Amino acid sequence: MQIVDPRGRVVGAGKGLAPRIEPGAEALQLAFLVNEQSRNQGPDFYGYTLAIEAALRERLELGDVVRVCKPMLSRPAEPAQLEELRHVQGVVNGLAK
Amino acid sequence: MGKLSACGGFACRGATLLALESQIRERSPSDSRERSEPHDLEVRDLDAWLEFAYAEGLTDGLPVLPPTRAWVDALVADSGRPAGEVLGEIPPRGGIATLEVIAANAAMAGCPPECMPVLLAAVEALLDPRFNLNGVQVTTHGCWPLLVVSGSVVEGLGLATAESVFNGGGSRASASLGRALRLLLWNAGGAHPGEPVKEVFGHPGRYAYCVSEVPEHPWTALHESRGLPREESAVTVFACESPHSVAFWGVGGDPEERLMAVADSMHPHGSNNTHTLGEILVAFSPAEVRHLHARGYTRERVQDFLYEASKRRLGDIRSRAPDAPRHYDWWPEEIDQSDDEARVPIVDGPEAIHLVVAGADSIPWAAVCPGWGHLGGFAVTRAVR
Repeated sequence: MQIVDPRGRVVGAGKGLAPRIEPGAEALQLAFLVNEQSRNQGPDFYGYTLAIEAALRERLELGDVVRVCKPMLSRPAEPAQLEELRHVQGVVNGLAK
Repeated sequence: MGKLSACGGFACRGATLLALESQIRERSPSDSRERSEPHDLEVRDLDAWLEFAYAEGLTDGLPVLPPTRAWVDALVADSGRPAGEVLGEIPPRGGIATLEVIAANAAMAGCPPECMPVLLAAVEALLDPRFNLNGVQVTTHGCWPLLVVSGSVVEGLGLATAESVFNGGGSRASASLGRALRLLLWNAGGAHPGEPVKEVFGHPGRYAYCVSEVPEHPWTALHESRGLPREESAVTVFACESPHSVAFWGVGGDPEERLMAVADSMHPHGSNNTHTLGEILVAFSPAEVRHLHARGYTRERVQDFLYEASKRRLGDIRSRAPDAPRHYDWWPEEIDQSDDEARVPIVDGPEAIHLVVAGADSIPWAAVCPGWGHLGGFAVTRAVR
């Protein structure tokens, strides 16, 4: 039997990781992409980012930190918000596990 | 099954694959590391196909039919559209939904060729950004896209509208349409439990979730109420929980008394709707629709009544404990969130209560399918071409 693959092609599959940041470089420009602005139910995403920033500042030289809140936790960030993140060297986003 | 073990799951994947090596070969000599490029496979027989499907994770646990090249080509031909036409990318994996890929999943579900136009309209509806298909599939909440078919195509395809309507009613067309969609989201979308699907409990309708509206009833048809001409056929997709039964216990014939029973089932404390609004679906059996209609209750009047009757007192649904949320961003501005006596709607408006006429034409009954709240899965309707 000749069988058709039901999975479909994925465009952009196999993209490489972002380039590593050289150690000893200037202060890191980091951003946090926060899932929602206020804690209405479940995890305190915004609070997590404050804790992570504090922990990182103890270990790394951090520059200004950008915080962007998605308009709704269930949807991807808006294109304009992603644009705000373009200049930073790393973006931290939470994922439930 | 003969030569192969019947483990049929992921636990014995390695062993199964080894056993299959001699029975399945790729038709395309392309680099086997590039899993994103689809290619035809050759499978020796049905036994080998089933083992392969399980080993490769091409099904959610139920057996599937082989999407043979001949059958897939026939499904595509019946759609009247080119095999390579792209309807979009199916999240979260991003598999490209060409006509051929959709047809392959339809073949696995046993979908008759004449159902293809309905399936394609459903896929187009799901890919509307308003639906938020990615979120619907991976959320912790137990919602799933319900297909509601309405119009003359219901009778033409033999879709179930009566007894057991929410689980296919014994109709091949109903069951296989819901199933085809599930398999498309599973295979092209990669919506597998654990990673990336975080659904806490699951939804039985994920196996197949398709209902059809009774063609003849005194209300406007569902698709007509959503802006399409009555003579059209259409598919409406809406992400919702499984149906919650509403039997008319302890009430008389007064329509408002009966609708209050429905409203009472629309706003339990733990519902996403109760706290975040959004949309909801209510199914009425034909007998109840006739009862309401005979007393002057049109579809729109029922929507208006249920919208008001399902509002809840703020103080009953949100605690004043110090660690409780103080503010809901998604509530309308006119609601004073410091006032426990404020009446809070549970949907975005009367039109966000989707009424469907379905079920056995025997006794009056209703069913409520709560939505995902404000997060998405909102109803989208597409005409069947």
